[in-house]
Amino acid sequence: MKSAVKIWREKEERLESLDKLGKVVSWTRILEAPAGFEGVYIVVMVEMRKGKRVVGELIGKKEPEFGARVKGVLRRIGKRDKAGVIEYGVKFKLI
Amino acid sequence: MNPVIRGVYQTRFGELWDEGIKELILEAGKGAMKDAGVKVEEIDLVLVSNMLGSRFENQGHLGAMATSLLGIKAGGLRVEGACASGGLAVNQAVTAIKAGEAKTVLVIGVEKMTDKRVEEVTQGLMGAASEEERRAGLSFVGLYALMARKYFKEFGAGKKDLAYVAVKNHSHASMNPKAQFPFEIDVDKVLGSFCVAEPLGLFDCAPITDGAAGLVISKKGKDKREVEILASKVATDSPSLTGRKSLLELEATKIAGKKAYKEAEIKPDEIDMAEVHDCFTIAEVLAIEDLGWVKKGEGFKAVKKGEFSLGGRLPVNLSGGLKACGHPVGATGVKQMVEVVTQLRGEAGGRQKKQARLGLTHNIGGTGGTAVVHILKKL
Amino acid sequence: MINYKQFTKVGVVGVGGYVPKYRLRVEEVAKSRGKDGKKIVGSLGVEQKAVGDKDEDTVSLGVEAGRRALKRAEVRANKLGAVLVGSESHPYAVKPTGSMVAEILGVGNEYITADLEFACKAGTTGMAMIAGMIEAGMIDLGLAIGADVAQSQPGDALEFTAAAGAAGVILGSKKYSWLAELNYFGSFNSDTPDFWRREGEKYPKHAGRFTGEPAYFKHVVEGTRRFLRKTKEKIREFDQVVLHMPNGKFPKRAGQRLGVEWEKMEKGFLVREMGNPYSSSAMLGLVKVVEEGERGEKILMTSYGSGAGSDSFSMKIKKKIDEKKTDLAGQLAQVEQISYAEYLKLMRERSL
Repeated sequence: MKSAVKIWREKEERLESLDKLGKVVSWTRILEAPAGFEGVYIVVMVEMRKGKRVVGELIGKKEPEFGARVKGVLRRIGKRDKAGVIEYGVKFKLI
Repeated sequence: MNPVIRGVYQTRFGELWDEGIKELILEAGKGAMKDAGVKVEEIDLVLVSNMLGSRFENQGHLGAMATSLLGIKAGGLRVEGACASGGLAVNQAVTAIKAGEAKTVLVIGVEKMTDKRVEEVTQGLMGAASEEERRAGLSFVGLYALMARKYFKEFGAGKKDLAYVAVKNHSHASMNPKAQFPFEIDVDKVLGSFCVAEPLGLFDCAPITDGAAGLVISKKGKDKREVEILASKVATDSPSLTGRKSLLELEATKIAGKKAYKEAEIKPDEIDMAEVHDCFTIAEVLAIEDLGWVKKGEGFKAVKKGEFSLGGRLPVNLSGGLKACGHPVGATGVKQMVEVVTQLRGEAGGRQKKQARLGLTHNIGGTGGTAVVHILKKL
Repeated sequence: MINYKQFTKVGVVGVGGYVPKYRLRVEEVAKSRGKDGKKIVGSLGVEQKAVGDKDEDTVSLGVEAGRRALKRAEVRANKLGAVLVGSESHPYAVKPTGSMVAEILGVGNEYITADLEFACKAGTTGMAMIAGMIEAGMIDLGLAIGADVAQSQPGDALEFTAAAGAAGVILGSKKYSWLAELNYFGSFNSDTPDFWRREGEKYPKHAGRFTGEPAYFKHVVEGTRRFLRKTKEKIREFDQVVLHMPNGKFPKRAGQRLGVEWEKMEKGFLVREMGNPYSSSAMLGLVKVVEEGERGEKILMTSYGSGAGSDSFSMKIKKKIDEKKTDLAGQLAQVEQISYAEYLKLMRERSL
């Protein structure tokens, strides 16, 4: 179980890209998820408007293209944990 | 004066159900000291490199554990830099000897990975990355897959091109009795393996391995089998991929490599053979480019042509590399030294690079947060 | 006893809705059971239901709706004096959804919040509380949210209709510009065990046909009639009527009994194409009729929550929103069909 204090302290960092726009720099489809994650999903590296690069899950099954425009939306992120504090953060949606 | 390596030892690498961390430390430590012909009393310092022990087994304090197990009265400590822990431990041994703090150092790299399930190991290895990358559900394969995809786009490479790296390393490993996978494979086998994180498949990845390796490093002496350490250089970069300047190179490799060549006063193409960090096939391609042996973007073509195979101009990963020899994370950097020393001594049997004089090891932590480069010379 | 006093200082300042884009057709669910889908669509009056993604929950849906309401209202989040979230799927049994939503929206620290639960009517009760606080001068602006990612047991009847969605309504004092003025509020409640979920249980249970006459119809029809008697408003005065929509049949029948023409219910009647998103059902209907309303239109909304009770609101539209700037209709037009297998996978991944 991830520390509740750590989750609280990282809140701003987790929400940094919320509502912000960026472009896809690269991506991968994870087929063997690490413990705490489920199923198959796409993770993208995004270059935000101000030049900062971030990584996050891409919403949906459709593969992006290099340079595709995305927007950060609020979703549950991080490791699945039935009893711990929930981490709300940013995932990316193709726009 | 440069220190020398007097003794080397590698345990078998693989799924070693009967050995725990203690057994592996004991075997590697005793083996290295025996090969060096040194007694327990002669050791001034023990450095243990290990990444996951305190996480997986709740066992830290490995320096004290090693000295106690081996009956060594001198002090010991653990060195950690993710998968570069081994190289870093050697670097610290060199530093201690050059500083006059120790005359003879025992370095043991050890990792026990098969007591945990694959998903747990995958998650544990992400300790080498950043919290942001962990939160996004990335695995190590996923991180290198991000680099591979960009590399494919930029240089017109594809999955098939990477397959040749795995085929080459397996071919080398088939001549290494200590390797985890001592058998050959072909390109079809690689391409047919199931996908782990697109575009990388199972055979693009180093396996999960148990194992240990040991070295006795000391001030220069008169032993005929001594191998000189000409350079030992460390460079670091952002542990997170998002902090790098480019996805197409490991800047830490370039910096550590340049510093090492400068200290050794040699040019890149003077190297006769090398052990590089092929945690994934793409990593080896980037390494041979970043170390200056082939132009950026041409690495995969050169591998396919055989330039880096046994018999080629600069054989890389004659041990089988991380892919085919195995990758017990904390032990790898030390094992790489064992292989180079064995080659420079002319004791590598079927996989011997003829008249090897200068060898190089390249050890990476995470996705390139740490790079350690050593250059060794036959005396 | 409620006083049924007319509001003098409260209006609707902003509305916003959010409906996830996945849809699961009733026929798909029926097929998985070997049943005749067409007949079930006919008897339920529902074609498909909205399904949340594996990583959506009441907080994330509530934030989406709240954000859109704030945008519509053109007010800064830190002006809100209250954030009340009504839901039957609050992510925590203990730790308020309200403060998580408020913090992400940027409300600051000085606001009133506590979570509300009353099956599908918790969101509208939140509206009433905020209206009261504004009328009393305690706050000038408040956000009421109804949001749910409805749970239903595979194989149960509810599985056809239990959906996901969120609606946010911002009420404000005269300091703000109103989309509609709030007129009256009334509520009608009892202890009626038609549908419930015990603490620790994963799925709700219901009492079958008992959920009809003694539950939904009693509270919606009788509740609305009593409300109209007390406020002295006549049913034919209203241009738009929104009733809670657990399926496509109940609200139509209730409307008929109340003497409401179908044309007056059509605009806010979302259940056929998206199912029943529990606490956001009636509120989403309200959002739609306000977004697409004409100046002077009178609106009547009656929500219903099992357990049981109904809330009624009457209001009058003051401002017409530019057709090009409506939001909910556009969202409802962008859907992606999923299979029953994909639906089960999403449910499983969400519940881990």
